[in-house]
Amino acid sequence: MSKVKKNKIIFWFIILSLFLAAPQVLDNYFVYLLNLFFIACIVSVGLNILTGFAGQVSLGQAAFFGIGAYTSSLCMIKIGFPFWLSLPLGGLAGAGISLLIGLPSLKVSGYYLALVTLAFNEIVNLIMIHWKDMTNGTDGLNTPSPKLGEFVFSSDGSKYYVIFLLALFLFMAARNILKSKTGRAFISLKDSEVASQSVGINLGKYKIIAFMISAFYASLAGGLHAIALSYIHPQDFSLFRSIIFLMMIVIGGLGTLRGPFIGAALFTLLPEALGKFHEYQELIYAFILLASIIFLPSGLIRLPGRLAAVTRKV
Amino acid sequence: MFLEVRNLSVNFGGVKALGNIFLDVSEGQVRSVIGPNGAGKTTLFNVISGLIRPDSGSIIFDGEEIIGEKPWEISKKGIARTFQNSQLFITMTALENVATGMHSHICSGVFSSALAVPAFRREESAAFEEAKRLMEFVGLKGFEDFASSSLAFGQQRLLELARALATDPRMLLLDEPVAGMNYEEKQRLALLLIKIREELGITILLVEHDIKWVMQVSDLISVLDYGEKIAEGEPMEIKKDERVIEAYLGKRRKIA
Repeated sequence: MSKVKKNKIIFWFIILSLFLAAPQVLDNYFVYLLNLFFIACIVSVGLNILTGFAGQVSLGQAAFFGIGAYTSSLCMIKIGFPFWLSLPLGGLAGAGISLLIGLPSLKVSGYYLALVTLAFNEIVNLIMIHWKDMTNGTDGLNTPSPKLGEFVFSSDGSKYYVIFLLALFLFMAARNILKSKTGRAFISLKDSEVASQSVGINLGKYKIIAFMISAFYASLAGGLHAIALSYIHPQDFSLFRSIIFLMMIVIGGLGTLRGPFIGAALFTLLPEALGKFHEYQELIYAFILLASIIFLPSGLIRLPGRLAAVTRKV
Repeated sequence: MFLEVRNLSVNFGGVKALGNIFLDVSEGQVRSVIGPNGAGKTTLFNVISGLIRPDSGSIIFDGEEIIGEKPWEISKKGIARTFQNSQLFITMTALENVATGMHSHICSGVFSSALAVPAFRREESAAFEEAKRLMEFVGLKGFEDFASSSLAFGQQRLLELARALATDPRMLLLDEPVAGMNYEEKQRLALLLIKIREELGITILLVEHDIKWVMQVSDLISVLDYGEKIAEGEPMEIKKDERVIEAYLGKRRKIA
């Protein structure tokens, strides 16, 4: 084994140990924030596959996030399924619904998917508000904590392990997919649709696969969101949330493996850091988006490189 | 016949791009289609590769009608192509571009890729080995890890060719393969085409402006002008054909 490879393994081993030890040493509040961060990571890693790699824009990720949250919560509350079954069911529900909207809207090229998903988000949100018998409307739902035998995952620290391990698994899976023929097909769609067809890639099929993966990730993250907060409310799944998901990957770095993490961290910490300036949140987000598009069009992930270039010039 | 184009017509909003074109290409041939700008050469390619639906006519490839098939289905049947202005996957490395060409020959789906099962790993490394071999075959050894956008123009054309070969085609459509190449590169490509035909047994149909080069590499040449075929024959016959000389150079001039 080469020395570089060995060092790399040691580096990741230390990072992994730090993350596994985090709930033991950190304050509950920070563990809760880490939970929100990993949930945001799952959504943005999935969305990055669709938007950053395959070049298709979705403005409806919050709807899938919500579909996952409500499906898994309702499976637990109404049917009494265990969390471990409800969570994947939520993911599958999101993926299934994405197939239904993806089929007609991805057959046509351009920005249809963005428009259709935007409308879809509004519809799903309205259903959450008005289907009171099922969703409890704007009173929201109390999601029970996962159980394993006698053990109840009620503390932030115990939920952290569920969320962190699933996020880690989903990140590795995304990385592997991007290195496969499926991943190359996604990138080829963004780079040149004609060339991609000419080497035998079925455009519509791969657009739909990318959309389904992103919806699956968002829905699983939604199920985790429900247990992290123990409470869900239609407002968590509004169009504004979809826009924030999109901003995470644009500001973090579209089409990069690690960009989504930076975006997810930024948008998890910002609302907390804003504190009493909370009312100006949307204004501040707009400024951040503008500034990043003007000064860092390829995302915060490229910031070190840009800084190095600037200092060299000086 | 390997490829039979029958009575093909294409109109763009009332403007005739191709009118009643007939073209027969037999297996193992290097066939060129020449003609002045706007003669309909690229349109012909776009119809064969499924990007444009013709108004009428039929194209039989190896006994099967291919009009109405989608471009990726035509690629799977064994027709690969390159483009006039190169259409590389610019955010990939050179080697990844070629590996993408092997799309249809890799079986691992989304789930086995996501879990990185051993069969997937084996298949991936075999695909990249083959891609490396193809890059060497076209003369791009050593450029595997270059960003495809950083390659010189002539190399980009070769990379597109390697990517097309990666689909394991039986017929290759080359759209102006030597445009922008210098003399030396043109000669190298001529040799490469011979290798492609002799070693890989691939039939070649190409569209080109450089008549001297076309004369050198082709078995048969078809000449288009204003969407119609005005002549067809071996290079020596085409050189002397009055209608061809007229279409190309105007009257009373000879091709060098």
